[in-house]
Amino acid sequence: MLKASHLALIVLLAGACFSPLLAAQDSDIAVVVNARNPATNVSMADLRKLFAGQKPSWPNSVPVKIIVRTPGCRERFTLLKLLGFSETDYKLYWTALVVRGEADSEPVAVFSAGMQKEAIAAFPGAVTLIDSREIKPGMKILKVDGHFPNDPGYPVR
Amino acid sequence: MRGIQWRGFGELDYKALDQRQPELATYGFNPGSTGNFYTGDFDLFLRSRLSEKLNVLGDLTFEETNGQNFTVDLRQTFLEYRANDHFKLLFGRYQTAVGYYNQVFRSASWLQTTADRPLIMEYASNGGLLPTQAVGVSLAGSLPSGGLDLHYVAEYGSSNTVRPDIDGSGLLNYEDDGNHVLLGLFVRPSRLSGLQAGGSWFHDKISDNSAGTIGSRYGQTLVNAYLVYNGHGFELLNEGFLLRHAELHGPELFNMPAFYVQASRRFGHFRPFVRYQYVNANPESVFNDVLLRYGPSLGARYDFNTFVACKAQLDRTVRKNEPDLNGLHLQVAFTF
Repeated sequence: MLKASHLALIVLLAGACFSPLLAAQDSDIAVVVNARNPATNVSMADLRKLFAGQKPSWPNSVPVKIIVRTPGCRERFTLLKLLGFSETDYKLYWTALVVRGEADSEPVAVFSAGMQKEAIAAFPGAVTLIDSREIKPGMKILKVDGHFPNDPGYPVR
Repeated sequence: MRGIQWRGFGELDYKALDQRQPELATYGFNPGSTGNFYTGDFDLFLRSRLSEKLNVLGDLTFEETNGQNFTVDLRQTFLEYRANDHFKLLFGRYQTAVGYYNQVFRSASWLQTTADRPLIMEYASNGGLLPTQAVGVSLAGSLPSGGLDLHYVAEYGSSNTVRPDIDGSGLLNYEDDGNHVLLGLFVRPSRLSGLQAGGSWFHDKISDNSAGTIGSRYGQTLVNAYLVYNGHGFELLNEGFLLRHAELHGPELFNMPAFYVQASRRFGHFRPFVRYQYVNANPESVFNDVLLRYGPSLGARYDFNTFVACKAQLDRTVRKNEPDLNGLHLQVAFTF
Protein backbone atom coordinates (compact mmCIF):
# COMPACT_ATOMS: atom_id res chain seq x y z
CA MET A 1 0.00 0.00 0.00
CA LEU A 2 1.43 3.31 -1.09
CA LYS A 3 1.62 6.03 1.45
CA ALA A 4 0.52 9.54 0.59
CA SER A 5 4.12 10.74 0.82
CA HIS A 6 5.23 8.11 -1.72
CA LEU A 7 2.47 9.16 -4.07
CA ALA A 8 3.49 12.78 -3.73
CA LEU A 9 7.10 11.80 -4.50
CA ILE A 10 6.03 9.89 -7.64
CA VAL A 11 3.97 12.86 -8.82
CA LEU A 12 6.90 15.22 -8.21
CA LEU A 13 9.33 12.93 -10.06
CA ALA A 14 6.95 12.52 -12.97
CA GLY A 15 6.50 16.27 -13.13
CA ALA A 16 10.25 16.79 -13.13
CA CYS A 17 10.71 14.28 -15.96
CA PHE A 18 7.95 15.54 -18.24
CA SER A 19 7.97 19.27 -17.48
CA PRO A 20 10.74 20.10 -20.02
CA LEU A 21 8.75 18.32 -22.76
CA LEU A 22 5.52 20.05 -21.73
CA ALA A 23 7.30 23.38 -21.54
CA ALA A 24 8.93 22.77 -24.91
CA GLN A 25 5.48 22.30 -26.43
CA ASP A 26 4.63 25.81 -25.24
CA SER A 27 7.88 27.48 -26.28
CA ASP A 28 8.20 29.45 -29.49
CA ILE A 29 10.23 28.37 -32.50
CA ALA A 30 12.99 30.82 -33.40
CA VAL A 31 14.23 31.66 -36.90
CA VAL A 32 18.02 31.52 -36.71
CA VAL A 33 20.49 32.66 -39.37
CA ASN A 34 24.25 32.94 -39.77
CA ALA A 35 25.71 35.73 -37.62
CA ARG A 36 26.99 37.60 -40.72
CA ASN A 37 23.53 37.71 -42.33
CA PRO A 38 22.45 41.40 -42.37
CA ALA A 39 18.72 40.53 -42.14
CA THR A 40 17.01 41.38 -38.85
CA ASN A 41 13.32 40.82 -39.56
CA VAL A 42 11.27 38.56 -41.79
CA SER A 43 7.54 38.55 -42.46
CA MET A 44 5.52 35.35 -42.10
CA ALA A 45 4.85 35.41 -45.85
CA ASP A 46 8.56 35.66 -46.62
CA LEU A 47 9.34 32.99 -44.04
CA ARG A 48 7.04 30.59 -45.92
CA LYS A 49 8.74 31.47 -49.19
CA LEU A 50 12.19 31.01 -47.63
CA PHE A 51 11.41 27.49 -46.42
CA ALA A 52 9.52 26.67 -49.65
CA GLY A 53 12.67 27.44 -51.65
CA GLN A 54 10.95 30.34 -53.40
CA LYS A 55 13.55 32.87 -52.25
CA PRO A 56 16.84 31.51 -53.60
CA SER A 57 19.00 34.30 -52.16
CA TRP A 58 19.12 36.85 -49.34
CA PRO A 59 19.00 40.59 -50.11
CA ASN A 60 22.84 40.61 -50.01
CA SER A 61 22.80 37.99 -52.85
CA VAL A 62 24.11 35.17 -50.63
CA PRO A 63 22.29 31.92 -51.61
CA VAL A 64 19.78 30.71 -49.01
CA LYS A 65 20.79 27.41 -47.38
CA ILE A 66 17.87 25.78 -45.60
CA ILE A 67 18.67 23.59 -42.59
CA VAL A 68 15.78 21.52 -41.21
CA ARG A 69 15.31 18.93 -38.48
CA THR A 70 14.64 15.29 -39.27
CA PRO A 71 11.04 13.97 -39.17
CA GLY A 72 9.51 13.54 -35.72
CA CYS A 73 10.99 16.68 -34.15
CA ARG A 74 8.92 19.60 -32.97
CA GLU A 75 10.69 22.00 -35.33
CA ARG A 76 9.75 19.66 -38.18
CA PHE A 77 6.07 19.84 -37.20
CA THR A 78 6.31 23.63 -37.20
CA LEU A 79 7.99 23.59 -40.63
CA LEU A 80 5.28 21.38 -42.13
CA LYS A 81 2.57 23.53 -40.53
CA LEU A 82 4.21 26.65 -41.92
CA LEU A 83 4.22 25.20 -45.44
CA GLY A 84 0.86 23.44 -45.18
CA PHE A 85 2.40 20.09 -46.16
CA SER A 86 2.44 16.53 -44.93
CA GLU A 87 5.80 14.68 -44.92
CA THR A 88 4.92 13.12 -48.29
CA ASP A 89 3.86 16.45 -49.78
CA TYR A 90 7.12 17.96 -48.53
CA LYS A 91 9.15 15.20 -50.19
CA LEU A 92 7.18 15.52 -53.43
CA TYR A 93 7.51 19.29 -53.43
CA TRP A 94 11.28 19.35 -52.95
CA THR A 95 11.95 16.49 -55.36
CA ALA A 96 10.00 18.40 -58.02
CA LEU A 97 11.99 21.58 -57.34
CA VAL A 98 15.28 19.72 -57.75
CA VAL A 99 14.35 17.94 -60.98
CA ARG A 100 13.07 21.25 -62.41
CA GLY A 101 16.42 22.83 -61.64
CA GLU A 102 14.85 25.34 -59.24
CA ALA A 103 16.83 24.06 -56.25
CA ASP A 104 20.27 22.55 -55.93
CA SER A 105 19.12 19.91 -53.47
CA GLU A 106 16.57 19.14 -50.80
CA PRO A 107 17.17 21.05 -47.52
CA VAL A 108 19.82 19.53 -45.31
CA ALA A 109 18.12 17.60 -42.47
CA VAL A 110 20.02 17.34 -39.17
CA PHE A 111 19.37 15.28 -36.06
CA SER A 112 20.03 17.73 -33.23
CA ALA A 113 20.10 21.37 -32.16
CA GLY A 114 23.89 21.09 -31.88
CA MET A 115 24.15 20.11 -35.53
CA GLN A 116 21.84 22.99 -36.41
CA LYS A 117 24.20 25.38 -34.61
CA GLU A 118 27.22 24.00 -36.47
CA ALA A 119 25.45 24.20 -39.84
CA ILE A 120 24.31 27.77 -39.21
CA ALA A 121 27.88 28.78 -38.41
CA ALA A 122 29.29 26.93 -41.44
CA PHE A 123 27.00 28.32 -44.21
CA PRO A 124 26.78 32.12 -44.66
CA GLY A 125 23.25 31.85 -46.11
CA ALA A 126 21.94 29.30 -43.62
CA VAL A 127 18.52 29.59 -42.00
CA THR A 128 16.82 27.18 -39.64
CA LEU A 129 13.92 26.80 -37.23
CA ILE A 130 14.99 26.00 -33.69
CA ASP A 131 13.15 25.60 -30.39
CA SER A 132 13.70 28.85 -28.48
CA ARG A 133 14.81 26.81 -25.43
CA GLU A 134 17.72 25.47 -27.52
CA ILE A 135 19.07 28.88 -28.49
CA LYS A 136 22.75 29.19 -27.67
CA PRO A 137 24.94 32.29 -27.33
CA GLY A 138 26.20 33.49 -30.71
CA MET A 139 23.05 32.49 -32.63
CA LYS A 140 21.44 35.32 -34.60
CA ILE A 141 17.68 35.32 -34.22
CA LEU A 142 15.40 37.05 -36.73
CA LYS A 143 12.29 38.88 -35.66
CA VAL A 144 9.16 37.54 -37.34
CA ASP A 145 6.62 40.25 -38.19
CA GLY A 146 8.52 42.48 -35.76
CA HIS A 147 8.45 40.08 -32.80
CA PHE A 148 11.19 38.07 -31.11
CA PRO A 149 10.42 34.54 -29.82
CA ASN A 150 8.43 34.52 -26.59
CA ASP A 151 7.19 38.09 -27.22
CA PRO A 152 3.42 38.43 -27.20
CA GLY A 153 2.16 38.00 -30.76
CA TYR A 154 5.12 35.96 -31.99
CA PRO A 155 3.59 33.80 -34.74
CA VAL A 156 5.91 30.76 -35.10
CA ARG A 157 5.14 27.97 -32.65
CA MET B 1 30.16 21.44 -54.50
CA ARG B 2 31.36 19.05 -57.23
CA GLY B 3 29.96 15.65 -58.13
CA ILE B 4 26.70 14.49 -59.64
CA GLN B 5 23.38 14.19 -57.82
CA TRP B 6 21.25 11.35 -59.16
CA ARG B 7 17.51 10.92 -58.76
CA GLY B 8 15.70 7.99 -60.32
CA PHE B 9 12.03 7.43 -61.05
CA GLY B 10 10.26 4.32 -62.24
CA GLU B 11 6.79 2.91 -62.66
CA LEU B 12 4.91 -0.29 -63.35
CA ASP B 13 1.52 0.03 -64.99
CA TYR B 14 -1.51 -2.03 -65.85
CA LYS B 15 -4.05 -0.53 -68.21
CA ALA B 16 -7.29 -1.92 -69.56
CA LEU B 17 -9.57 -0.38 -72.19
CA ASP B 18 -13.04 -1.57 -73.14
CA GLN B 19 -12.42 -1.68 -76.86
CA ARG B 20 -10.04 -3.45 -79.20
CA GLN B 21 -9.60 -0.61 -81.67
CA PRO B 22 -6.04 0.58 -81.11
CA GLU B 23 -5.94 3.81 -79.14
CA LEU B 24 -2.97 5.80 -77.91
CA ALA B 25 -0.55 2.90 -77.99
CA THR B 26 2.20 4.45 -75.93
CA TYR B 27 4.43 3.55 -73.00
CA GLY B 28 4.29 -0.13 -73.91
CA PHE B 29 0.50 -0.41 -73.86
CA ASN B 30 -0.37 -2.84 -76.66
CA PRO B 31 -2.83 -1.47 -79.21
CA GLY B 32 -5.88 -3.67 -79.41
CA SER B 33 -5.26 -5.27 -76.03
CA THR B 34 -8.03 -5.36 -73.47
CA GLY B 35 -5.41 -4.97 -70.76
CA ASN B 36 -1.72 -5.46 -70.25
CA PHE B 37 1.20 -4.64 -67.98
CA TYR B 38 3.97 -2.29 -69.01
CA THR B 39 6.83 -0.45 -67.37
CA GLY B 40 6.24 3.09 -68.64
CA ASP B 41 9.12 5.49 -68.18
CA PHE B 42 12.32 4.89 -66.28
CA ASP B 43 13.89 8.30 -65.60
CA LEU B 44 17.30 9.31 -64.41
CA PHE B 45 17.77 12.93 -63.41
CA LEU B 46 21.33 14.11 -63.11
CA ARG B 47 22.37 17.43 -61.67
CA SER B 48 25.79 18.86 -61.07
CA ARG B 49 26.92 22.19 -59.72
CA LEU B 50 29.85 23.46 -61.75
CA SER B 51 30.36 26.71 -59.88
CA GLU B 52 28.51 29.02 -57.49
CA LYS B 53 26.23 30.18 -60.33
CA LEU B 54 26.50 27.46 -62.96
CA ASN B 55 24.64 24.13 -62.94
CA VAL B 56 24.04 21.38 -65.44
CA LEU B 57 20.94 19.16 -65.49
CA GLY B 58 20.04 16.12 -67.55
CA ASP B 59 16.89 13.99 -67.74
CA LEU B 60 17.49 10.63 -69.37
CA THR B 61 14.36 8.58 -70.00
CA PHE B 62 14.10 4.93 -70.99
CA GLU B 63 10.66 4.51 -72.47
CA GLU B 64 8.96 1.22 -73.26
CA THR B 65 7.64 0.85 -76.79
CA ASN B 66 5.83 -1.96 -78.59
CA GLY B 67 7.32 -5.42 -78.23
CA GLN B 68 8.81 -4.53 -74.82
CA ASN B 69 11.63 -2.68 -76.53
CA PHE B 70 13.01 0.49 -75.04
CA THR B 71 14.03 3.82 -76.52
CA VAL B 72 16.24 6.42 -74.88
CA ASP B 73 15.02 10.01 -74.83
CA LEU B 74 17.12 12.89 -73.54
CA ARG B 75 14.14 14.90 -72.35
CA GLN B 76 16.21 17.68 -70.85
CA THR B 77 19.83 18.69 -70.87
CA PHE B 78 20.82 22.25 -70.15
CA LEU B 79 23.34 24.57 -68.62
CA GLU B 80 21.87 26.94 -66.08
CA TYR B 81 23.41 30.26 -65.13
CA ARG B 82 21.77 31.83 -62.07
CA ALA B 83 23.01 35.37 -61.60
CA ASN B 84 20.45 36.28 -58.94
CA ASP B 85 16.72 35.92 -58.20
CA HIS B 86 15.91 38.20 -61.13
CA PHE B 87 17.95 36.54 -63.84
CA LYS B 88 18.32 32.84 -64.59
CA LEU B 89 19.50 31.68 -68.02
CA LEU B 90 19.02 28.16 -69.37
CA PHE B 91 20.72 27.01 -72.53
CA GLY B 92 20.03 23.56 -73.96
CA ARG B 93 17.05 21.23 -74.28
CA TYR B 94 14.34 22.20 -71.82
CA GLN B 95 10.65 21.68 -71.15
CA THR B 96 8.74 24.63 -72.56
CA ALA B 97 6.63 26.84 -70.32
CA VAL B 98 3.68 26.21 -72.61
CA GLY B 99 1.63 25.07 -69.62
CA TYR B 100 1.91 24.86 -65.85
CA TYR B 101 1.71 21.06 -65.88
CA ASN B 102 4.57 20.76 -68.36
CA GLN B 103 6.80 22.95 -66.26
CA VAL B 104 6.05 21.43 -62.90
CA PHE B 105 5.61 17.68 -63.31
CA ARG B 106 8.25 16.74 -65.86
CA SER B 107 8.39 13.10 -66.88
CA ALA B 108 8.31 11.29 -63.55
CA SER B 109 4.96 9.63 -62.75
CA TRP B 110 5.80 9.59 -59.04
CA LEU B 111 5.59 13.39 -58.99
CA GLN B 112 2.03 13.35 -60.37
CA THR B 113 -1.10 12.74 -58.37
CA THR B 114 -2.79 11.04 -61.31
CA ALA B 115 -1.49 8.00 -63.17
CA ASP B 116 -1.04 9.93 -66.43
CA ARG B 117 -0.81 13.45 -67.77
CA PRO B 118 -3.87 15.24 -69.17
CA LEU B 119 -3.99 14.71 -72.95
CA ILE B 120 -3.34 18.39 -73.71
CA MET B 121 -0.19 18.22 -71.56
CA GLU B 122 0.94 14.78 -72.73
CA TYR B 123 4.37 14.64 -74.33
CA ALA B 124 4.12 15.18 -78.08
CA SER B 125 5.96 11.89 -78.65
CA ASN B 126 3.04 10.19 -76.87
CA GLY B 127 0.28 11.93 -78.80
CA GLY B 128 0.14 15.24 -76.95
CA LEU B 129 -0.79 18.32 -78.95
CA LEU B 130 1.74 20.89 -77.76
CA PRO B 131 5.48 21.35 -78.24
CA THR B 132 6.52 20.18 -74.80
CA GLN B 133 10.27 20.38 -75.38
CA ALA B 134 12.64 22.60 -77.30
CA VAL B 135 16.30 23.37 -77.76
CA GLY B 136 17.21 26.97 -77.21
CA VAL B 137 17.54 29.59 -74.56
CA SER B 138 15.23 30.39 -71.67
CA LEU B 139 15.31 33.36 -69.31
CA ALA B 140 13.41 33.38 -66.03
CA GLY B 141 13.35 35.28 -62.79
CA SER B 142 11.34 37.41 -60.42
CA LEU B 143 10.31 41.03 -60.94
CA PRO B 144 10.05 43.66 -58.19
CA SER B 145 6.37 43.49 -57.26
CA GLY B 146 6.06 43.45 -53.47
CA GLY B 147 3.64 40.91 -52.11
CA LEU B 148 2.46 39.90 -55.57
CA ASP B 149 5.75 38.02 -56.23
CA LEU B 150 5.63 38.36 -60.01
CA HIS B 151 7.85 36.10 -62.15
CA TYR B 152 8.62 36.08 -65.85
CA VAL B 153 9.81 33.50 -68.36
CA ALA B 154 10.96 34.12 -71.93
CA GLU B 155 12.07 31.43 -74.39
CA TYR B 156 13.48 31.38 -77.87
CA GLY B 157 14.19 27.99 -79.36
CA SER B 158 13.49 25.22 -81.78
CA SER B 159 11.14 22.34 -81.22
CA ASN B 160 10.64 19.59 -83.74
CA THR B 161 7.36 18.00 -82.85
CA VAL B 162 6.71 14.52 -84.17
CA ARG B 163 3.51 13.14 -82.76
CA PRO B 164 1.80 9.80 -83.40
CA ASP B 165 -1.85 9.85 -84.33
CA ILE B 166 -3.92 8.76 -81.37
CA ASP B 167 -6.80 7.34 -83.42
CA GLY B 168 -5.00 4.11 -84.21
CA SER B 169 -3.99 4.98 -87.78
CA GLY B 170 -0.32 4.38 -86.98
CA LEU B 171 0.71 7.58 -88.77
CA LEU B 172 3.30 10.01 -87.49
CA ASN B 173 2.85 13.75 -87.93
CA TYR B 174 6.03 15.71 -88.59
CA GLU B 175 5.17 19.30 -87.80
CA ASP B 176 8.53 20.77 -88.92
CA ASP B 177 8.30 23.55 -86.35
CA GLY B 178 10.02 26.84 -86.92
CA ASN B 179 11.72 28.64 -84.06
CA HIS B 180 9.38 29.61 -81.27
CA VAL B 181 8.98 32.60 -79.02
CA LEU B 182 7.36 32.23 -75.61
CA LEU B 183 6.55 34.89 -73.05
CA GLY B 184 5.01 34.02 -69.71
CA LEU B 185 4.17 35.62 -66.38
CA PHE B 186 2.97 34.19 -63.09
CA VAL B 187 2.32 35.42 -59.55
CA ARG B 188 2.55 33.76 -56.15
CA PRO B 189 0.79 36.22 -53.82
CA SER B 190 2.41 36.29 -50.40
CA ARG B 191 -0.92 36.62 -48.63
CA LEU B 192 -2.31 33.50 -50.32
CA SER B 193 0.32 30.87 -49.64
CA GLY B 194 0.14 27.97 -52.11
CA LEU B 195 -1.69 29.92 -54.81
CA GLN B 196 -0.13 30.47 -58.23
CA ALA B 197 -1.74 32.12 -61.25
CA GLY B 198 -0.22 32.80 -64.61
CA GLY B 199 -0.23 32.42 -68.33
CA SER B 200 1.91 32.25 -71.41
CA TRP B 201 1.90 33.14 -75.09
CA PHE B 202 3.72 30.90 -77.57
CA HIS B 203 4.22 31.34 -81.30
CA ASP B 204 5.92 29.30 -83.99
CA LYS B 205 5.21 27.97 -87.48
CA ILE B 206 4.24 24.39 -88.30
CA SER B 207 3.38 22.29 -91.33
CA ASP B 208 0.33 20.11 -91.74
CA ASN B 209 1.89 16.92 -93.08
CA SER B 210 -0.84 14.74 -91.61
CA ALA B 211 -2.04 13.60 -95.05
CA GLY B 212 1.37 12.06 -95.73
CA THR B 213 2.38 14.83 -98.15
CA ILE B 214 3.97 18.22 -97.55
CA GLY B 215 1.03 20.36 -96.60
CA SER B 216 0.28 23.99 -95.84
CA ARG B 217 2.33 26.08 -93.45
CA TYR B 218 0.54 27.54 -90.44
CA GLY B 219 1.32 30.10 -87.80
CA GLN B 220 0.73 28.35 -84.47
CA THR B 221 -0.18 30.51 -81.49
CA LEU B 222 -0.80 28.90 -78.12
CA VAL B 223 -2.35 30.93 -75.33
CA ASN B 224 -2.41 29.44 -71.84
CA ALA B 225 -3.83 30.59 -68.51
CA TYR B 226 -3.87 28.75 -65.20
CA LEU B 227 -4.84 29.02 -61.57
CA VAL B 228 -3.46 26.44 -59.15
CA TYR B 229 -3.43 25.92 -55.40
CA ASN B 230 -1.25 23.47 -53.53
CA GLY B 231 -1.27 23.53 -49.76
CA HIS B 232 -2.92 22.26 -46.58
CA GLY B 233 -3.53 18.92 -48.25
CA PHE B 234 -5.40 20.35 -51.23
CA GLU B 235 -4.29 20.32 -54.83
CA LEU B 236 -6.38 22.27 -57.34
CA LEU B 237 -5.18 22.57 -60.92
CA ASN B 238 -7.11 24.58 -63.50
CA GLU B 239 -5.56 25.21 -66.85
CA GLY B 240 -7.02 26.43 -70.14
CA PHE B 241 -5.57 26.70 -73.65
CA LEU B 242 -6.43 28.23 -76.99
CA LEU B 243 -4.61 26.65 -79.93
CA ARG B 244 -4.78 28.92 -82.97
CA HIS B 245 -3.55 27.73 -86.37
CA ALA B 246 -3.64 30.37 -89.13
CA GLU B 247 -2.62 29.37 -92.65
CA LEU B 248 0.27 31.54 -93.83
CA HIS B 249 -0.69 31.69 -97.51
CA GLY B 250 -4.34 30.85 -97.37
CA PRO B 251 -7.61 31.54 -95.59
CA GLU B 252 -7.76 28.65 -93.13
CA LEU B 253 -8.00 29.56 -89.47
CA PHE B 254 -8.60 27.10 -86.63
CA ASN B 255 -9.26 28.12 -83.03
CA MET B 256 -9.17 25.04 -80.83
CA PRO B 257 -9.90 25.23 -77.09
CA ALA B 258 -8.74 22.78 -74.45
CA PHE B 259 -8.74 22.67 -70.68
CA TYR B 260 -8.44 20.40 -67.69
CA VAL B 261 -9.36 20.75 -64.05
CA GLN B 262 -8.01 18.48 -61.34
CA ALA B 263 -8.75 18.41 -57.63
CA SER B 264 -7.42 16.21 -54.87
CA ARG B 265 -7.27 16.16 -51.08
CA ARG B 266 -4.85 14.27 -48.88
CA PHE B 267 -6.23 12.09 -46.05
CA GLY B 268 -3.12 10.68 -44.39
CA HIS B 269 -1.43 8.40 -46.92
CA PHE B 270 -4.49 8.46 -49.16
CA ARG B 271 -5.20 11.10 -51.81
CA PRO B 272 -8.41 10.70 -53.86
CA PHE B 273 -8.56 12.81 -57.02
CA VAL B 274 -10.91 13.81 -59.78
CA ARG B 275 -10.01 15.27 -63.16
CA TYR B 276 -12.03 16.48 -66.10
CA GLN B 277 -10.45 17.23 -69.43
CA TYR B 278 -11.66 18.64 -72.74
CA VAL B 279 -10.00 19.02 -76.13
CA ASN B 280 -11.85 20.22 -79.23
CA ALA B 281 -9.66 19.99 -82.33
CA ASN B 282 -10.86 20.97 -85.79
CA PRO B 283 -11.20 17.98 -88.19
CA GLU B 284 -9.46 19.99 -90.94
CA SER B 285 -6.49 20.82 -88.71
CA VAL B 286 -3.23 18.98 -88.07
CA PHE B 287 -4.98 17.45 -85.04
CA ASN B 288 -7.56 15.61 -87.16
CA ASP B 289 -6.88 12.43 -85.17
CA VAL B 290 -7.93 14.09 -81.91
CA LEU B 291 -11.24 15.83 -82.77
CA LEU B 292 -13.55 16.36 -79.81
CA ARG B 293 -12.62 14.44 -76.67
CA TYR B 294 -13.76 15.03 -73.14
CA GLY B 295 -14.51 13.19 -69.96
CA PRO B 296 -13.71 12.61 -66.32
CA SER B 297 -11.10 10.58 -64.48
CA LEU B 298 -11.58 9.38 -60.92
CA GLY B 299 -9.06 7.68 -58.73
CA ALA B 300 -6.79 7.70 -55.73
CA ARG B 301 -3.13 7.72 -54.89
CA TYR B 302 -1.80 5.87 -51.87
CA ASP B 303 1.69 6.69 -50.59
CA PHE B 304 3.23 3.68 -48.88
CA ASN B 305 6.06 5.93 -47.74
CA THR B 306 7.94 8.91 -49.16
CA PHE B 307 9.38 6.78 -51.98
CA VAL B 308 6.62 4.49 -53.28
CA ALA B 309 3.06 5.28 -54.31
CA CYS B 310 0.33 3.28 -55.96
CA LYS B 311 -2.50 4.76 -57.97
CA ALA B 312 -5.80 3.53 -59.33
CA GLN B 313 -7.61 5.56 -61.97
CA LEU B 314 -10.83 5.15 -63.93
CA ASP B 315 -11.13 7.13 -67.16
CA ARG B 316 -14.10 7.82 -69.38
CA THR B 317 -13.47 9.55 -72.69
CA VAL B 318 -16.27 10.69 -74.96
CA ARG B 319 -15.10 10.95 -78.57
CA LYS B 320 -16.73 12.52 -81.59
CA ASN B 321 -17.83 9.93 -84.18
CA GLU B 322 -16.30 7.11 -82.09
CA PRO B 323 -17.64 4.97 -79.25
CA ASP B 324 -16.97 6.18 -75.74
CA LEU B 325 -13.80 4.82 -74.23
CA ASN B 326 -13.60 3.48 -70.67
CA GLY B 327 -10.32 2.66 -69.04
CA LEU B 328 -8.74 1.37 -65.85
CA HIS B 329 -5.19 2.40 -65.08
CA LEU B 330 -3.25 0.94 -62.14
CA GLN B 331 0.24 2.13 -61.37
CA VAL B 332 3.04 1.69 -58.89
CA ALA B 333 5.39 4.68 -59.08
CA PHE B 334 8.59 5.11 -57.13
CA THR B 335 11.64 7.26 -56.69
CA PHE B 336 15.09 6.35 -55.54
